[in-house]
Amino acid sequence: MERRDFLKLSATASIFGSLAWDAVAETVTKKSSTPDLVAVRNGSIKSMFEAGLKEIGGLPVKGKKVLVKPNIGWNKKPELAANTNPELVALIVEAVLKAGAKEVVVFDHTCQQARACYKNSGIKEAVEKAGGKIIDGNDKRNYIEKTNKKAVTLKSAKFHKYVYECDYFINVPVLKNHGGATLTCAMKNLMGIVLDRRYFHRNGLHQCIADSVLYRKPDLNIVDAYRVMFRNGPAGRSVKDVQKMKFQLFSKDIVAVDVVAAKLLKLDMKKIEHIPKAVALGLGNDDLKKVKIKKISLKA
Amino acid sequence: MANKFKALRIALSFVVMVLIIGAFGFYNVFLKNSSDETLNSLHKLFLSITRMQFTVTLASLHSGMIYGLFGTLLILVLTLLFGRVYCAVMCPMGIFQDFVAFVRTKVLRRKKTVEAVQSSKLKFVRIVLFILYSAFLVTGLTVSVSLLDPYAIFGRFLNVLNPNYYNYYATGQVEYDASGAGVNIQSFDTSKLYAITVITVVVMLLITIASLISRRFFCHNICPVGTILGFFAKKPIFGLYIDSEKCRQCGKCTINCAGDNCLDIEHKKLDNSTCVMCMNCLDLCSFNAIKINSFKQQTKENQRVTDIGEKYHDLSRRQFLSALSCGIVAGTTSSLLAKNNDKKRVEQLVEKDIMPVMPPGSMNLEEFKSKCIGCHKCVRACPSNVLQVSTFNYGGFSNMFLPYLDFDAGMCNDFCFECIKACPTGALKILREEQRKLWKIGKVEYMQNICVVETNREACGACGEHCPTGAIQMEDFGDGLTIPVVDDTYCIGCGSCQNICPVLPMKAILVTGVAEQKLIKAKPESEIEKVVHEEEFPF
Repeated sequence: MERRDFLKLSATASIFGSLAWDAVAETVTKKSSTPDLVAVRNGSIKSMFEAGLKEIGGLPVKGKKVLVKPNIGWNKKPELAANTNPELVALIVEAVLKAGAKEVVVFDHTCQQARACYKNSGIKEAVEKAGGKIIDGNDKRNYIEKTNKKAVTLKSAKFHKYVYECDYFINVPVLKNHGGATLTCAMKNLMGIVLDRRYFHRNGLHQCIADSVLYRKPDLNIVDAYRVMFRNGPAGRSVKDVQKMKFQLFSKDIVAVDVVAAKLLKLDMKKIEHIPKAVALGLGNDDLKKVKIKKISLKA
Repeated sequence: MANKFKALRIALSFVVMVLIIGAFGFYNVFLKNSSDETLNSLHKLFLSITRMQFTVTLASLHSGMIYGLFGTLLILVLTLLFGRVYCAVMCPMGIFQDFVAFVRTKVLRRKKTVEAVQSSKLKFVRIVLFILYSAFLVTGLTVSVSLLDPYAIFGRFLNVLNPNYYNYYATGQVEYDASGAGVNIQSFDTSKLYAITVITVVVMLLITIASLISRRFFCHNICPVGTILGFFAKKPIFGLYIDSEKCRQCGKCTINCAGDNCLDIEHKKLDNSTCVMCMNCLDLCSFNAIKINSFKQQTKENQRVTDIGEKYHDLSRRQFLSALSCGIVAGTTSSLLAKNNDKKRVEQLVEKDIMPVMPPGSMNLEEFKSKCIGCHKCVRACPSNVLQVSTFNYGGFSNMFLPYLDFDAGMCNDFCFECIKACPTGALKILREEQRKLWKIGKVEYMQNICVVETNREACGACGEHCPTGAIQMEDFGDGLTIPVVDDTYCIGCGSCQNICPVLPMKAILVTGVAEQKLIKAKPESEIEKVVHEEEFPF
């Protein structure tokens, strides 16, 4: 064995070794304390968020660039629950800054006129007040082409460039019923970082939703199920479509969180095809027996 | 004496030009980052400057707007008092031509223009154009006004200059996709847009070239507004005149004259109906022979120029009045004759499902075309890019330039009032917020045989997602799929469904125009069946 080969080998070995050690360390800590999924209910948005964040293990974002991606798809007021609750988004932005993040950026590729959506959802104001930065999700020039060989249908797509610039990605969907996809929650929320959504609808919505998660898996998912739209989703027509469930879900497993969300809406699991499709791609766990869930009920 | 009047003219025209350009470039620059208050005040400012355009005030008379009457009278009174000051400072096309002349003299260093272009043939053309224009006073011969009105031509030109618009026309891409859904390039037909762009650019190019040859060629030979104001400016109460005692007939004053031929050195006369009040001659005269003075004093000292008659460029009173009455008679008869034709044509278009959707508040085609002058400020204002320029979409040459909604380009959201707010003539009726949400502008047709849910057996629901009224309901289709079930009774024709429909090349759901826009009833909401869980954590 020559010296060069020896060096190469030892370098590779050390890299693999350290990786393996990390993995072991991760599983150890997981087993010891942190649950896979935290479900909090019956509190105010603030108290639920604080309790849930503590249980999931806080935000390891010191010195990082953080992307918070809520749902700001529709020009609707917060009471109509078509968008993520602005209060929750503000709390997340504050928490991220408190944890020492370098910057917090919030955006969504809206379904209706961006200016109206950002304003009437209350999210723009809330984010700016909390010290975050809200950026444009509708400018085509901000999107970059990405490819992924693992994907089944969505082999390539244009993604917002900040998704790739950030170091930590927090996905903050709002739980809603959906006329086409049955459920819109964590995975469906990622359609807001993609430019061409018609491609999804044209080429098999569920498969594309699952594929899109491959491109950039969120580091943390926080589901807003305080007010839940249980029919006429995802846009909703009036407050009659909304009920207060007072739930928040926290998880690093994007599939598990969608399964729990579907159970909250009492949906038929067979209809939500993107869940098994995401499992097939190895994106998460849909068997709740294998997921360590921490349930917290706060007293109102 | 320093020429205060000239300085005032230049200052005023500069302000007006900035405001007009602002009115058309408004949305690109300010929409993204300004607060609502700034936007609203800018809106009012830009609206008021466009409302002061002469043709706009005339068109506003059709919509029964009080400022229409007020504006028309104000401009006419101003003209009676001071001559064609409107042409000097209010008309964007006039200012543009002055700018061309400025470039020619200062940059190209060509001082003298050619001898004023005038002939009896040109005068004939001008009379015919004026007849066509005055037909609009009674009825909607929209195309003639759109083609002739200086403000409308200039507005369209500003639209074409807009980089966003240019990109869009050239490539079907928009720089800023405000609607979120964006333009569906594959199904969006840009060819008709090329036609309008070409017409606009060619017209503007011709005007520019003409202006290089003879400074205000357009104003004196084409512009119907110039013809009207020229008639009223024959004897302004305070106007320019030449003091025949002081004048030495040196001809220096004609060097930079915007009117080109308003100064008659031979007879020592100034033709006020041709003079566009550029005031350039005032300080050029070495003998102080050109003055602003009251009409009374002028008559004392001078014979009126009009007495010299035919030599002059402007229409005589007889010519003007007969042309005007010709136009009014032609307008009335043609509107009476065309009324049934138009109705039949609209009926046919609606029946064939190819009637274009008119912007909200335009009521029906007849009313719309009688008020719209085709400046396309609304097209620029539309944040969703759904408002587009028609060529022959409405059928017939006479409806060219009317805006319509192209749902392959965008969606007309029920909360958006930008086009209504932008319209200076009142062609788009002001709707209240709750009216707008139930204002039916189109009808919907769904073709299940090409819908992806049917053809691919895949979930979609994009149309149902966007429907604001519940006219599209997603219902069970087996295999966990849902399929749209469409009820036109509750459709307001916003076109969101057509815009977002992923099917190519033809959409599976199409929205087309209705003959008459109207208020519909809201869809009743079904009983509430909330989700109830027995356990505290149902998982």
